[in-house]
Amino acid sequence: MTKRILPPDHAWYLYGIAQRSEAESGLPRVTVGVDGASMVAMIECGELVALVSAVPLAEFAAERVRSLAQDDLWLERVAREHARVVDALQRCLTIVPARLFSVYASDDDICASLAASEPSILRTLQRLAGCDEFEIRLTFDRAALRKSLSRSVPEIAGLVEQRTASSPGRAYLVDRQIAALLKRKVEETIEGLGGQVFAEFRSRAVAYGALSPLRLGEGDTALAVVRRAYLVRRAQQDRFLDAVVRIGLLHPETKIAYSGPWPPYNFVDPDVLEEQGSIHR
Amino acid sequence: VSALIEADEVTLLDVLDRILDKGVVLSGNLTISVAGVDLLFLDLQLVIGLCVRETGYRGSARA
Repeated sequence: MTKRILPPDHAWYLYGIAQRSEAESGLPRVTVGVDGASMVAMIECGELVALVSAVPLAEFAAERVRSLAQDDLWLERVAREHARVVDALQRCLTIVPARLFSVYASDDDICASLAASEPSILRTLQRLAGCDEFEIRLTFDRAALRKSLSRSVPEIAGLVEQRTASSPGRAYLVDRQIAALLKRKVEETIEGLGGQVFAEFRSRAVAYGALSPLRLGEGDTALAVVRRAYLVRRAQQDRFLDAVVRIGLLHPETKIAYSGPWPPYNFVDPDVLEEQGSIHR
Repeated sequence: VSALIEADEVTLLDVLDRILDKGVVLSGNLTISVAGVDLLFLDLQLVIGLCVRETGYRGSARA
């Protein structure tokens, strides 16, 4: 890994940022970039290095990316290559990973951008050292929860009983009351149980934060997927994953899954680490 | 019984979910970068599209 000259009609594709002192000895010798041809190199900027490879402007200029990204296969290939390179770098040294399609015209552009952010990036690198990101994902079956709550919540059971002795008009109104109440109770249960399960992982992580929830399916019966990202020290990762199994067995109302280790994409903001709070503010 | 779902495959959704709108974006004179500028349409078209097609989630462990 050495500093390289940018060929004509090429730009630098950025994968991440590392501390110069660590990168000089810790970088992998041979890593091919997203274009499948150029090698990953480092650009020295003060105490930091930018980890980059040359990419052709014919493919990675902004307007070309916007056009090519309509092609799912092209996007998947680049996304997977980006992830592969960042992954390889993360295994060798502490990095602040860059977002997909961060492309710069020259060394000077990168260094000028880094200069403004150097103190906060150094602080982030310090906090990310020796850590990987994990995601915990809880899936709730809304249909199953509705069924269970309609029996266990006295208020709903009372309405169901009331409905049997009602006129058609009254029954219609009671049905609407039941539906609204069930909907609220389902969401409250997801939030409550989710919070309870996620809380059990907090003490095993350096930092954590909420990720945007997913909705699988349509309507009131859609599966609800709630997620948290955790920054976990490598020395603690076996313990963290053991907890996934143990905590999963304690909560039959939800399916629990994890993914990782990932580069710390969700922890690039040093303030998130300090606050130990929500990533999405 | 609660299920721990594990697999050895990282899905495209998992990857895109991170790299499309996460990771650092350097402020400054980004002469070419498209990161953080027009990725919203990708987010809508691809990530959400993939989410609704997913029937489950696969946890994974990297060796």
